Amino acid sequence: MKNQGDVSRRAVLAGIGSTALLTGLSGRAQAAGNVFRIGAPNTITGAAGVFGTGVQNTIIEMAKRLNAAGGAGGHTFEVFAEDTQTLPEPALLAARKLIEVNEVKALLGVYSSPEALAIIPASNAADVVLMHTGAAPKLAADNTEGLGFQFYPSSQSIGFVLNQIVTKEGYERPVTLTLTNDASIGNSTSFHKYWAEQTGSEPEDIRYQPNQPNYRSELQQALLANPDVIILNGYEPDATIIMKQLYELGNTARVIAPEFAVTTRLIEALGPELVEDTIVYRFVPNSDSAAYTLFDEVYQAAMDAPGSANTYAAIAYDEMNLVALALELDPAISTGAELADAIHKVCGPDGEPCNSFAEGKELIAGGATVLNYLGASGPCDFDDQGRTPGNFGVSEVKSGEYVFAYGIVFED
Amino acid sequence: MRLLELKELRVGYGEVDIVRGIDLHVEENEIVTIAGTNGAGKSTLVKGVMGLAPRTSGQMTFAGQDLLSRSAEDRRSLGISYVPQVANVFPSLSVSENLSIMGRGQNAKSRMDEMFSMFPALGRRKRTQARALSGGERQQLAFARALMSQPKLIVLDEPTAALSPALSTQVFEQVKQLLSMDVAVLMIEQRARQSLKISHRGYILDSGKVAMVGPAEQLLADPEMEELYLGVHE
Amino acid sequence: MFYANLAMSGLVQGLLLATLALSVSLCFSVAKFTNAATGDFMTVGAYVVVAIQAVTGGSLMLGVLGSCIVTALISLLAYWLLFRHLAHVSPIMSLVASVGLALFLRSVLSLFAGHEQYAIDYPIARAINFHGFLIVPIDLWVALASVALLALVFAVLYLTPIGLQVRALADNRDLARAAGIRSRGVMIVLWSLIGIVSAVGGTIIGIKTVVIPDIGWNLLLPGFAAAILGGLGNPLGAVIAAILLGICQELSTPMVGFVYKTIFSFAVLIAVLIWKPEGLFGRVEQVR
Ligand SMILES: Nc1ncnc2c1ncn2[C@@H]1O[C@H](COP(=O)(O)OP(=O)(O)OP(=O)(O)O)[C@@H](O)[C@H]1O
Ligand SMILES: [Mg+2]
Repeated sequence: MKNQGDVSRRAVLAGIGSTALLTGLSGRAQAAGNVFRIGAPNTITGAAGVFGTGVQNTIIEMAKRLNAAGGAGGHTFEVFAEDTQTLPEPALLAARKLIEVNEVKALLGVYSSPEALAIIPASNAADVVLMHTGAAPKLAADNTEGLGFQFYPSSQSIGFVLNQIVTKEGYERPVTLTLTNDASIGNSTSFHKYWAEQTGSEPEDIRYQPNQPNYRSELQQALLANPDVIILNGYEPDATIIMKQLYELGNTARVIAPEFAVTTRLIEALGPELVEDTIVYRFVPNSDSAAYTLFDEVYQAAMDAPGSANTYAAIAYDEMNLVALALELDPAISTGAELADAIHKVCGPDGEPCNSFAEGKELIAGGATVLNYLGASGPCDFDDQGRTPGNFGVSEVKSGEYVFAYGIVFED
Repeated sequence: MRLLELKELRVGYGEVDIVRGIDLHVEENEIVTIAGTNGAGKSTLVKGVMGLAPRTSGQMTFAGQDLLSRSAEDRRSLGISYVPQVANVFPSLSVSENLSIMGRGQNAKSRMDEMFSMFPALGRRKRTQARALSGGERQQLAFARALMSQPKLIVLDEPTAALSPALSTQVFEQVKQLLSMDVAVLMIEQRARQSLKISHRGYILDSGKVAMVGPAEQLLADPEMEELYLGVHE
Repeated sequence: MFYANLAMSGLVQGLLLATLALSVSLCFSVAKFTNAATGDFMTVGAYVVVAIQAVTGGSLMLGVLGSCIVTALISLLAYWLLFRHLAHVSPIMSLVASVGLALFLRSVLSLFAGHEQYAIDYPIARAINFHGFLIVPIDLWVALASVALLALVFAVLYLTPIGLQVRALADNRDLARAAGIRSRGVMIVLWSLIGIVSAVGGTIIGIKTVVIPDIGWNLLLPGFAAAILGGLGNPLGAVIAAILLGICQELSTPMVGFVYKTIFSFAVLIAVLIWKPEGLFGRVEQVR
């Protein structure tokens, strides 16, 4: 079958359904003192099923290690795991269950904008910290309580990156194909802004709806503008259909798309010829950092694979460290708001730099009250709206493989 | 010989019985009229006979065979044809399809030709959908359809209800002719006087029971009958 | 040429919807209820093709034929285990049951195949360009397959004795029973046809898109719209309406934009329902 998912894994996960996976440490955790409950509503199945298990296992592995090292600020961690199917409604259901039944204080590893947008009103209302990799501008607007932490770069920075790529490659007639959802529209709008600032012209933007069997009219309109590059802002299913139909309609312009749209599964489904030379950008971890080396080791233990396989797991690793550092800094934390405050104190950009929980713990013991955690995924310097800058990597698809071309650092 | 025989027949839809214990019979080559006020249960009785009512009890035989234990679909092969009060043809089927669906076997084709010579108006509109026929043509098609399977008994539910007086007279003529084809007729009619004139016997129903029964001439002559069921008009 | 290409795009879209509308309409006209599982039958059809291709190594022809058989069997099973028992109660019960069946089919698919997307394997080729009029080879095949499918269904309905019985039962159940037509045989034919239509329709949808558990469900509403537009219970009308709807929808895009094109088709539907409640090709059945 044209699917890289592992059937047996899926069958097993489907078998346990959405029952919570305990870390198996709850007995010891209770004995050690306060239990800090963490919810992990992750994309075990669905469009982002390739990432979810790695994210969840990283969170569980980190809880295990932190507990073994004596916990954080007198707390030990208990993780409750759920599958969101990469869909907003199941994600919200999972989050509600975690909040109401398991009484978690933080939700970690939430993946997409639609999932995060579905959850954030509930987590705000329940005073629960939400750590996610959504990019929709509305996520910043909805972060009314300051409980949201957006680890994936904002739409604004993606527009910046797209403009960098188009400029660097020397294209002159870009056209954007934009799925009608907040994150995709945000990306395109931001790109248009940068492009207009630079060239004084406004590129053609074609909006399309999800779940359509046929995008031919949309693509015909896009091709009418005679583009030399097509910027696709969407997700895997619609990208699969659009890449196929673009080819069928004779398109020769290059396509730029995010990694979560032009996935390995898409390439496998369409065959290498159709995807050849497509430019794929992705959020990349800070792989030269000390934190990344530590993460890599954790990921190896959790998944028996190198950390480079899963950027989102590096984010999950940072999320766990930030929560642990916050608890270490302020052991009296009992509300989500207090936790969020403390996270802001340990994440930077001000304060003593530290690369790991162990380093931070020592600094706090030495009297530090403000830390600058330097993460595996990036600097983790969250602003008031819960956003952090990040790094991007640009690859080209060659014979069905991603070939790294260059990196881009967002600077506003 | 007795063709159809009902004893203490009860027919109902939901909780209540509409037909509440009726004895009725039809002999071979006999025309029998059922008359009665609106809502007396005439159509319901006939649906019971055809096996199309939700609940039927009592005794019901046809040519000596038990009918109650048989499904509606068996009636045709036993020799009973039915022309319901409304929707008596298949509207989206063509004229010939309406006929061919009734006649199976080898002689179906010749039987169909017989029908077309008997009802020449139909013969001219073989491929027309039944919904496009005039009221009179449709009634002819309903007759022809019922006759296709060479039945021993035809059950007619108000065959003249939607027709003009002139066309009604024509229908009664056709019913009379059925006798020459060895077919018995059980016919519900509001135009009871006209209907009884061509019938051998008649039943008058009232509230699910038989109010009067007897030979047609006798009923026609009965003063009580005249007053209660035949009306002074007509 | 711009509009000709739009019309072509709409035609393909329309043919794809036509299979769904046909299935809805067939079920409504004969079994007398609105089958909300229609879309999910199509999804099942698409998954069976994917599975057969995976096992046999990619033959699309084999996949479609196999899917016709398997999907027809699943459709028959749905009739035998579910709808058969609800035939004598209100059609609302059957509708409710079909919604349940739709959810059930989708969960079974998600359980065994996950939410990840699959693809039906077919040779992807560039469009043939006739002076700016683009014909995508697979669209040609899709059109051929749709036409062949419609021809098959209408041949069964209009050229065979059992088809005659199906239409008679659809017209008037009591009269058909009195004519000795057994509904069981007719229902077996009906549900087999629904299965086959779903298999081919599902394949077409899978080819044009990706195979995920929601593909059929996502198209159910436009399919219903076409079935209603065509006059509920009028299969031929449903097919024509679906094609018209597809073409109108795409031709409207220069005016209403791509985001509102589906809304446009529903606006057309509402307008038609107000102006001609029996649908474009329907007729109010005479009740006397
Ligand atoms: N399908 C049904 N379900 C429930 N009740 C019914 C049904 N059909 C008829 N009835 C009721 O049964 C009673 C008798 O109806 P029926 O049609 O047998 O009368 P009828 O004598 O044929 O009247 P008419 O002369 O108007 O045709 C009526 O009160 C009617 O409301
Ligand atoms: Mg009546």
